[in-house]
Amino acid sequence: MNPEQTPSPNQQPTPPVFRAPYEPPFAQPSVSPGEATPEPELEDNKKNNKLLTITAWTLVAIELIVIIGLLIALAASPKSAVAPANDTANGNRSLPPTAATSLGVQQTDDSISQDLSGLVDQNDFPNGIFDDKSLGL
Amino acid sequence: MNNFTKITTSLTLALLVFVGALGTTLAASAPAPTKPGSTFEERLNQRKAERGIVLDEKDQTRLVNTCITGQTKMRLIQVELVPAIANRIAVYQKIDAKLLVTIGSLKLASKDTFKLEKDRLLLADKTAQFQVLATNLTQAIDDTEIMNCKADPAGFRAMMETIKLYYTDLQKQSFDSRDFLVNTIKPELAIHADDLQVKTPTSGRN
Repeated sequence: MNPEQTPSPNQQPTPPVFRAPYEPPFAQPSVSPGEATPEPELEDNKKNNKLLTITAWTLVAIELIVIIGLLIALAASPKSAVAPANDTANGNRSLPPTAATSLGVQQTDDSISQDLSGLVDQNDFPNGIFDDKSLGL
Repeated sequence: MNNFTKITTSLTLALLVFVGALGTTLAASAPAPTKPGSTFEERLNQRKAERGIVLDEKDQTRLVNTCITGQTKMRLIQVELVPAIANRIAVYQKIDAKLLVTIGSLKLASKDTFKLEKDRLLLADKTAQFQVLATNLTQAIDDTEIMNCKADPAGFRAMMETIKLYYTDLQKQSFDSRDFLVNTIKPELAIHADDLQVKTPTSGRN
């Protein structure tokens, strides 16, 4: 038995109600009386933008950390600490400079004398090689 | 009147001497460097204009008959000259490097290196001048070797004169650098060596 069909003695019988098809309940945003009601799509976009910004900054931070880590690893690698073999072979360039000693300066002086002894002007640039006689002109 | 004649004659003679000296100086003056990227024709014309060679018929005939032999001999000279120049520049640069290291170590020993540094720069300047002269000389020799000397004996003579001038300048520059090293830089190094020997604390104990 349907209770609607059994009216109580003091009540008038209610007429049948025709309802609209079912609609899901829609949550109204809480809006203060003075404000215009924001559209729901804009609200979603804002949230997405915030999320995207946070993700992008996180990625940038991770990349920076990775780059800094790589740079530190490269700087600390043993290759950078060791001078190339050519440098040590040609004139001890990798050695730290030392204060001059009398012997050191004397050695430089002697070494320059030795270099100069190999330069004989008369052998390298003899006189009269471009004269008419020498060239058979 | 007599005085006027004397003064006029003296002034004329002085003017003639001045013009003659100026002409000789200009004729023997160092050739100007050629423009970078210049063509052979441009360089040849420049040398002809600089030297202003005028050949008489006898000289012209002689040069036309002998210039090919001259070019061949010049190639043989160049084969020996170019390595000698390169070696000299390399030695100058090696000496410069040694001086630089010595100056650094003298500074570490708290020595006054002002004069030595100044002289090192002077030596570097002399080396640079030597390099420029060597480049110009080599260029002039190259041009003389490839030119058609029989067709242009005056041009050939102008190039030859240019080569001689550059070569003389190169000899002078070489002598100058050597003289500077022997008589200026080496004594200065000896002074520093003596100075360090006197002030080394261990030298007194030994």
